[in-house]
Amino acid sequence: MQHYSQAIKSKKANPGRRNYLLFLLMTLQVSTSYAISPLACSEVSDPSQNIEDLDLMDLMEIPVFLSASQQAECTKTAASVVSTISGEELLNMGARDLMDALELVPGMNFGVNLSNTVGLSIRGIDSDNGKLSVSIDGIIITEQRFGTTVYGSHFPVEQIDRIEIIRGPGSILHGNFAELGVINIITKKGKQLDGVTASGSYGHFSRGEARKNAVLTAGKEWGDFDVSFYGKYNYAHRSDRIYTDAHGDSFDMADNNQLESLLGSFKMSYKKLNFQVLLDEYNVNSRDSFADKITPPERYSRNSFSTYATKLFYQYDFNEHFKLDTGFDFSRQTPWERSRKYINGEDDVLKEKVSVDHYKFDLKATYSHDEGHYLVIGNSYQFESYQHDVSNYTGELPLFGNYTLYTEAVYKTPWVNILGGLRFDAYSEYDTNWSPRIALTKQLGKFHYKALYSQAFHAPTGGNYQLNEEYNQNNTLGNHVELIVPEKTHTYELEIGYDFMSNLSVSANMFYTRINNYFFYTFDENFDDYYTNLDGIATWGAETSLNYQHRQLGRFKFNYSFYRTAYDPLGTNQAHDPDGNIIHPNINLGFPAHKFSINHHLQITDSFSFNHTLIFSSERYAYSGADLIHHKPTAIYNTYFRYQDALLEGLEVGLGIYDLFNAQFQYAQYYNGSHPALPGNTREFNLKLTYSF
Amino acid sequence: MRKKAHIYLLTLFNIVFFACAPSYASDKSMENKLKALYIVRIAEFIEWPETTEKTSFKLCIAENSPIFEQLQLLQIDTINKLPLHIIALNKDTALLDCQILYSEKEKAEVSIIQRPILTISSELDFARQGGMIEFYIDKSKVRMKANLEAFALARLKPSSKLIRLLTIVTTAEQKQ
Repeated sequence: MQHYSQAIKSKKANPGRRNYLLFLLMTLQVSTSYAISPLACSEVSDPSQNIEDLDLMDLMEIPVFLSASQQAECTKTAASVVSTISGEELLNMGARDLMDALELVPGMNFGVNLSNTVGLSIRGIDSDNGKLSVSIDGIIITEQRFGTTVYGSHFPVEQIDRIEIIRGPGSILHGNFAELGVINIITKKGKQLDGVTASGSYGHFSRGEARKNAVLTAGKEWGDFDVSFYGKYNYAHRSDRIYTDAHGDSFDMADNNQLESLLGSFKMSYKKLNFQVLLDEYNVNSRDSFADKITPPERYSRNSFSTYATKLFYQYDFNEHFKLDTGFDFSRQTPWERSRKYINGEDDVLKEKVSVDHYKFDLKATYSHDEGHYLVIGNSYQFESYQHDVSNYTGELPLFGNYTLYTEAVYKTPWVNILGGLRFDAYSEYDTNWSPRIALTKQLGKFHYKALYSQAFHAPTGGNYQLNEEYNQNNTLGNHVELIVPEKTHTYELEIGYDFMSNLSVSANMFYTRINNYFFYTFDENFDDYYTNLDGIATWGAETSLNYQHRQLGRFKFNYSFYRTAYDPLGTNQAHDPDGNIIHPNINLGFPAHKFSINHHLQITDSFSFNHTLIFSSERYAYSGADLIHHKPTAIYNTYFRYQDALLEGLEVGLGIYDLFNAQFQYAQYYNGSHPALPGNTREFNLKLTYSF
Repeated sequence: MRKKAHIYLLTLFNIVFFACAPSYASDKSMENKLKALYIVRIAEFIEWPETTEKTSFKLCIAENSPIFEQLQLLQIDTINKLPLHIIALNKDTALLDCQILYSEKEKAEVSIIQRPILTISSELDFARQGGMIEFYIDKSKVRMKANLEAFALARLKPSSKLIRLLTIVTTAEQKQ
């Protein structure tokens, strides 16, 4: 989301639209009851990664070949470039939130979006405007209005069973936001939790409070009935350093620019019926504002993001080969709710509040053969309706509907698994589209390879639509801009991997991604903002991973990634000199050309472990106002000591030192929005206590 | 730049294509991995007679068995906190030294039938031919048949928890 407006006008949704919704609902249910399953990867653990830890009963639930959804997460045979991080790894490394985990994933880099919000860019391209699908247990938490996900003391890790990351398109199975990647967070089931765990942590930067939080998780299995719950309250600060705007004005971020989150989830399953509820409230205070100038000292802004979501999912097994998944998702999100707040206690001013209701119905059939061949056919209908409580837009947004039909089939031979996929979308506002996908993969003993080609189709969100309509209504130059049209993405990927020894494995991939009709956020001479489509942008690069485990020295994970701009004819994502000449043609804004990370885990005794991480990012370029800023290479070093069953059974103590050498990362902006880099934290000491019973 | 990128990708694709040509393996790695894990987990539910050496576990298996490779990859080095030694079977292997024998044969070795050695196989009818545990696939999942008579002859005691997970069969020949 890169939209801000000045005037305040409100518009209620048209009640007639509700009837239309009901009609669509009834039609859909009467005609098919069809719905799409979220393609959740959450039904079983990742067989390639986690089954070593399962007991015999759990092992007996693992199929000898993987169904379509499971294929997506099996790193060596998946028809995608996949990373998996287990919950145990997160606990071992003392991950403070999801950001610490994603920093270790090749291709991912954090940068400032605006107003103290931090977003993610993937493989050199920013993931805002709906290019990355982030979900918790299949519930999409990427906000539907603009397609952004905001990071930083937001998503806790204590309840996570594993995180599955597809570094590449996943649109055919994962939908409109999965243009460049998919992050699926899978939380623990009641059976895994089997009791109650309470946890709290406190962190302090060099100059101010870092965070304090409390987490409660609970779960239990009774026969076929499984229930789990988690809740977390977190109060944190982005940084304790000095922020200086493009005009030289500054303010101290220590104990300022708060991040506050409340997240809760309840999951319940009975046999193959699953029900879950997710609540997420996230508030970000800021004085850095959305562009190059800070707010006056007497006031600040608050952006609030809320998600209330529910999901109902049922799987019916006709026989051992044929199953049907059906589901319903609903979410109400109010992202980027912006208020002006005053230090002196003056009343808040609500500047913008727009809610999005998202409905999705799924039906998917899977046929799987004993030899591992499978065929998936699914269809879904989803729509979003908007409610403008306070907004600068004086009109009605249409109902954004989307019918999808997709299929994916795999045929396995001794030499190659051949996957073909096809997705058809019919949008109420954006015409129709076909997106194919082809994958050749195989694990041949210790060697595996993948050759992948995927298309993705990404339709603008209601927020994208609204901004251009709003511009046409309000711009003072009398300009008229067209609504943007969908993006079409082509991605080519090649991966090879080899297990050199039983304890040493290496994989490497190359990719080329091109987005046609790229959504580009821009301003006119009066700084009124709107979107336009660019001809396209492209990046290419390589990513490698190495895992090594030594009996005495512990486990090592090494990742390296390399990126280049492959196509950007207007240089819109690149660094220019004052005359407009591109000075660094090969690096996209805010993104390092080279990044590597090393994580080492050493289990010193059965209950005591030491974990440390080094994350290196090469030089970056980003704008501060009109000035191009060179950011030096940065190396962040984190350590974490974990002592389980300390003093009494079930008590765990963790001590972490983050950014031990005080390298002080800068969150450089990954597009030219004139916002100076947001200072990251200084050295943080963090103490965590956990008790399970 | 685009041309260059395409050339790199094409080159890599060719390398991959030709590199994989000499190598071949069946696509049963998941099944074999599961079976390897089953073998280790099953042992945790079995009580060996007092007379059996308790300082380590010896798991004997043919070196060319795909499950042998999976056991190596899994790097499991203990069972019930005792060191696990994986012994590659050959004609000189003293079977009596094994605590667990994974057999590629459809019938249990007569010479060890009354010895405290847990015998496991994936061969059809292994359990009915005097073996203790036979892996089979049902509804795409690895399942186990067990011959409790064979357990009794070897003086091995499977726990009740394990027995609940087994399909019990009897020795076909003896009944006839």
